[in-house]
Order: sequence, then structure tokens, then C-alpha cells
Amino acid sequence: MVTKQFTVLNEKGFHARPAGMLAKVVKSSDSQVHMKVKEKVVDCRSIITLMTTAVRQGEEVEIRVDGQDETTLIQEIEAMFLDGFGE
Amino acid sequence: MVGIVLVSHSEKIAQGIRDLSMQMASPETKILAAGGLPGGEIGTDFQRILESIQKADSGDGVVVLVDLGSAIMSTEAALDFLDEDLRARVVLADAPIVEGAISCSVAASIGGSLEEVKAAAEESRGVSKF
Repeated sequence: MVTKQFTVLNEKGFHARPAGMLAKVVKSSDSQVHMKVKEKVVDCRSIITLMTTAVRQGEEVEIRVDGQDETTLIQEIEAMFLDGFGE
Repeated sequence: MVGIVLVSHSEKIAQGIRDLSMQMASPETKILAAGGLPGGEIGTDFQRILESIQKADSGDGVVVLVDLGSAIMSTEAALDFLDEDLRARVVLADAPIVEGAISCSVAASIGGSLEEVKAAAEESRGVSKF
């Protein structure tokens, strides 16, 4: 299992599009991925649940990946956060 | 890739949900808006639904989402007019239309099967907003 913290860089926060991108990447893998933010833990496979986190720009989240491809998957997720999900 | 058809009593609602869903989906994902009556009034039109289903299918089937239960009747009428082959790969998802569309657009765009896309729509049922 790997865990890493990321800051949301997007001006509009972690809104529908970033949530969709994260859910897509997670759904394509067999690993379990969870996001912890403000004491809430959500399953990253579900875009709808991801959007309940209402994370704003500048806030931090913790991503936990558990599975065969956890090392590459966390790197992929990190790249997305660092890139502001392309926004 | 599984296609998605959005059936709403309002043309604007269906198109708006489509616009939102396309943000999550890949450009090739076929999401069709089948809302309102031909003149733009409120209602559901079986012909519009029928054509949308036909356009949304690329061989992997279609998931149909509706806004209200009364849209089911027009949708079922449309299904009756489909050829058997296509009819067998069209399913109705029992899901809230906005959340369902967003969930299943993601699933469809990553190549989910018909069952997976339908399940993605339906797993949005009952999820709290916050």
C-alpha cells in the first residue's frame, strides 16, 4: 500500500472534470484507491462520491493506493495533481 | 464503446446533461440527448428516442437514462420499434439522470461493458451529495 499527500492546484478546486479524470484512471486499474480529505474517506472509483469531497484550491488530500500496480498508479495520480488536471 | 441516451421531458435538460457528461467522457463517446418534443415543448417523443438509440449504438449496446418514470413509456415504445438485434443490447438504467449520466460516461469512455456502464449509472442512486 502506498500513501501520498497532494495539494489541489486547480482554481475551481477538485470539481467534476478532475474527479472524472481521477475516477477514470482508478477504474482502469484493479487497485483499491481511496482519498482522505477533512476526515472523510472516499472510494476513488466513484466519480459521484469523489465530488462529495468539495475540495478547494490549496487544500490537501491524501491518496491511498493498494494493489498490484500501486507504484505506477500513485505516480500517474501524482502527475495529474501536479498538472492541475490539465487546467 | 457503449453509447448513452438521455431521455428527458425537457430538450434543454437533456442537452445540458450531455454537455456536462462530455466533459468527463472521451470525444468518441456517443452520448445522445433525446429530450422534449420536436417543437421544443416539454414532453418525450418516441421517435426522437428511437433515432437516438440507433445513433448511439456502435455494436456494444446502449444505456438509456430517463428523468422521470413517465419517460419510460415513450422509451419502451421506442424499444418496440428496434430490430431484435439492437433491442437485445439496449438497457434502461434505474438511476438519477444527472449523476447517472456522469458516472456512466466515465465508465463508457474507458471501454466498460454494457453491464458495467449500467451498473456505474445505478451506483449513483442514493449517494448523498455532501
